[in-house]
Amino acid sequence: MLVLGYLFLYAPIFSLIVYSFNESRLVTVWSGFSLKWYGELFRDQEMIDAAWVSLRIAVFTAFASVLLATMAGMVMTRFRRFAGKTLFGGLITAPLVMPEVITGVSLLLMFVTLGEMRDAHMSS
Amino acid sequence: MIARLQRWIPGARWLVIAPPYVWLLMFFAVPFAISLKISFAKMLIASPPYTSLLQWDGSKVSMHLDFDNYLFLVRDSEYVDAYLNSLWIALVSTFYCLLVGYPIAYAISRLSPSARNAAIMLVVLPSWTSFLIRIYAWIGILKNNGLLNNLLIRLGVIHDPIPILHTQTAIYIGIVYAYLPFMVLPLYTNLVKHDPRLLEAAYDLGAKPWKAFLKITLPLSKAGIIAGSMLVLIPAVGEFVIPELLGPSTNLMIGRVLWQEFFDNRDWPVASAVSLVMLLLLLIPIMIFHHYQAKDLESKLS
Repeated sequence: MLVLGYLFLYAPIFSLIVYSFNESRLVTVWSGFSLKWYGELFRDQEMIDAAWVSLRIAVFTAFASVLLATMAGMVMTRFRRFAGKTLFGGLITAPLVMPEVITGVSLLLMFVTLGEMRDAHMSS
Repeated sequence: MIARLQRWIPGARWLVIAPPYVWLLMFFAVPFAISLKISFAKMLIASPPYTSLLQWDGSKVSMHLDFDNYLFLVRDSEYVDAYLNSLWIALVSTFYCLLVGYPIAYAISRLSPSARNAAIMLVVLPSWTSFLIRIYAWIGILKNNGLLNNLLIRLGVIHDPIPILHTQTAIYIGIVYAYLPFMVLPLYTNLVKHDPRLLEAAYDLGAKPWKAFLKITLPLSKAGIIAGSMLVLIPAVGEFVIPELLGPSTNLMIGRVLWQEFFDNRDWPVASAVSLVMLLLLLIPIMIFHHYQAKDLESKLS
């Protein structure tokens, strides 16, 4: 049972790993072992830059999350009740279940609005 | 007097409360209020592409709430169908996810304590690789000359490839695959707490294993089933990437409609209304989840 479950979880990932060594450009046709795609990867400056950006964002996000989440966790478990604690608890669980597309679009709308406000401020 | 003053001067504890609180308000509550505001506006071909709610005509401020966007959603059968379709796909996927996830969680909870952590780690590990890449991998597996069809043909099970990619089935597979860890984790944390003596007592009293399971394990794991199901159901309703990559082009899930309204039609007011109605639909499952999670937290603390 457990083996089948793990097979389901890992088969797609292993298929990707195996076919990354494929000579052919096609995902499903095996035409021999090759490292040429890895060579291309390290020559592709755009790809390397993108990887650096991802890494930077990930590191900053992780640090900020640990800091904010430790504080939030302390507030939820160690602090006595205060006005607004229920709202605080709600705000913590809400992003966990909120569909990503809603969070994304509303964040984008806020940044657009902030941009408008900045432009209006600068032109006045 | 001093005691009264002290109540109003922020103490050290507010230094701990404020940063996460302000962060959540700023990046969660405020964006939400802004989409609510925009959903009551009208679309404009301008920047920003919507009308403002407050009008200033020299002497007075008037507020203009436009419910057209909401009426439009209710009247246009395309939106209603997309909402129902999303809910249905999410419900079916959640059911399959439970069907696949429960045996996995159960099997892991029966392992020796030292093996459990490694086993649960192996369930979570795939979600550390990029979501997009894992879904792409399924294209290679499910397409007509993909790995699955090739395997089945070579085994002699089928002669002609069966089309799976770009069907509803592919969406189900994708959602079950992507959200399986969210189902397994709450189920596992629940199942691992069960007292094995309860099952032993049932066996001693002559219960068959399946009966003991139905009478003891299943009812006791209710909170885990509900928490896991909500964690899959709610994001699955808004799922956009999986139907876009694996599903048929005719399949309109509401996340995809929202995307089209926002980026293709640039109708931000309607897009905001679409997302708010989606949230309204999800409010009940979100509250159920919150209720069971709060309960779980309390039982852990006591």
